[in-house]
Order: sequence, then C-alpha cells, then structure tokens
Amino acid sequence: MKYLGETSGVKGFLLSIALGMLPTGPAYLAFPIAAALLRKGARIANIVIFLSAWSCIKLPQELVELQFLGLEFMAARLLLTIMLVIPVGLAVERLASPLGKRTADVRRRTPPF
Amino acid sequence: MQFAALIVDLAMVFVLLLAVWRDRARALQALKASLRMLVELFPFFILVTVVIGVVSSLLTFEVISGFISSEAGVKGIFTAALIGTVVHMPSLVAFPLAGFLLRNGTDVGSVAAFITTLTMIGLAMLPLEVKTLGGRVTLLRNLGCFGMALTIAFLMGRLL
Repeated sequence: MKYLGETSGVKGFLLSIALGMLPTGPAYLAFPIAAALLRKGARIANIVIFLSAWSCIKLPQELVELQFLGLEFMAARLLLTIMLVIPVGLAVERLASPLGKRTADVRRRTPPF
Repeated sequence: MQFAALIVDLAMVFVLLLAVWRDRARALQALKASLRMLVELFPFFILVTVVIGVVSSLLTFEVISGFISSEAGVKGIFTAALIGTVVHMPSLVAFPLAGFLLRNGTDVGSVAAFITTLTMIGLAMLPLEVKTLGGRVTLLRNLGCFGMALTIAFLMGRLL
C-alpha cells in the first residue's frame, strides 16, 4: 500500500489509472477489486480514479470508439476524461471523509477476505 | 468478449500458480478468501445481470435514439446523460449506436454525455457497488461521475 495509500501522491494517481486501463472486463468486476484495495488502506481518491479508468480509459475501448466515432471525437473525449478523472477522485475523497481522513473504514461492510 | 475472458482466466491461473510457488499456505488462504467473497457477492452479480437484461429489452436501439436525437443543447445533454445512466450495454454495441446517432445529426455533446455515463455509471450495478464500497463513497462517486460526464459533454460541444 506504499503506492496507493495515504501518502501516495501523483504517482498513486498515475498508477491507479494504469491499473484501471489494463484489464478488460465489465465494470462490476472492478468493484470487488476496489473494495479489496480500500480494505488494504488505499486512498479513496485512488480507488475512484481506478474505477473511472476501468470504465472510461480502456485501450481496446478507445480503439472501438476511434473506429465508430472518429479520431477527433475519441481524442477530445479521452483528453477531457484524463484531465477530469483526478479532480473528481480528489473531490469524492474530500466529501466522503470530512475529517480529512484519506482512507475508508470498510471493515463493517465487506466480508473478511 | 469470449477472447477477453480467456485472457483474464489465463492471467488468473498464472498468478495463482505463482502464488502457490511462492507460499503455499498463504495461497490456500487467499483461495478460501476469494471463495467466500464469491459466495457473498453472487446474489449481487445475479441481480446485476437480471436488471441489465430487463432494461435492455425495454429500451431498444430505436427507443434510445428517439430519446436522444429529439433534443439538443443543455436539456439534450442532460437527457442523454440520464439515459446513459439507466441503460447498460457492452461498449461493442454502444459505440456503433453512438456513431449512428452522431451521423444522424445528434449534438456532439449529447453523444459524449451518453457514452460517458453509459460506461461509468450503471444503475444496475448500484447494489453491488454499495455492498462493496459502502453507501457514502458510492453516492459521491456516482454524482461525481455524472458531473464529470456533463462537463465533458459541454466542453466537447464547445470544442468540436
């Protein structure tokens, strides 16, 4: 959790994006993974970024988008998404924990895996 | 889709073998934990599948394109984002649909909003998300992503 935890900065954001980009699979497979990471003490921001990247910054998906919607559309949407993913992640983290805690207490909600 | 599943499964077997090789006891422990997680989450996966099936049989291709292309501007973008939230479909179906909409003169922003909420937010997945991430994070994440989709849509309407 050195890489995704409380003290991880920009590197953590980038790693989260990379983690979300690589695997293919529907979004509902990402939630158990996200929960496991949260439980291990990953920052909320990183988890939100990971989930966004999983659903929006997929390489194969971008290729399909390129094919059907054109280069301009695809490139503009991809750029805007990448620019917005990190601020949204940080905003969610800030709002989710008003006390300034960066990790979530999910122990009560998730099964002990 | 099947091909992707094959790759993921192969990767999983590889990682599992690696884990067994490194530390047999902990690998076994991890297997038990994941089995428990599967049992725990199974009803939610079923729920997601059923809801997606019902919604996609109700909202067909034509219904969706009727909704989205009828309006433009702020209202159009908002409607498109809402529809993208409710509907769930694989991106291999979604992108051709979006391309079709775009070619038929739908507002660029609306199409962008539709695609973005479609891939990021799934109403059908909410129960699973609440179960795994907790209500607070789920609510904020979905609101954040919805806002993000609207922002992307407005900016794209300006840019293109």
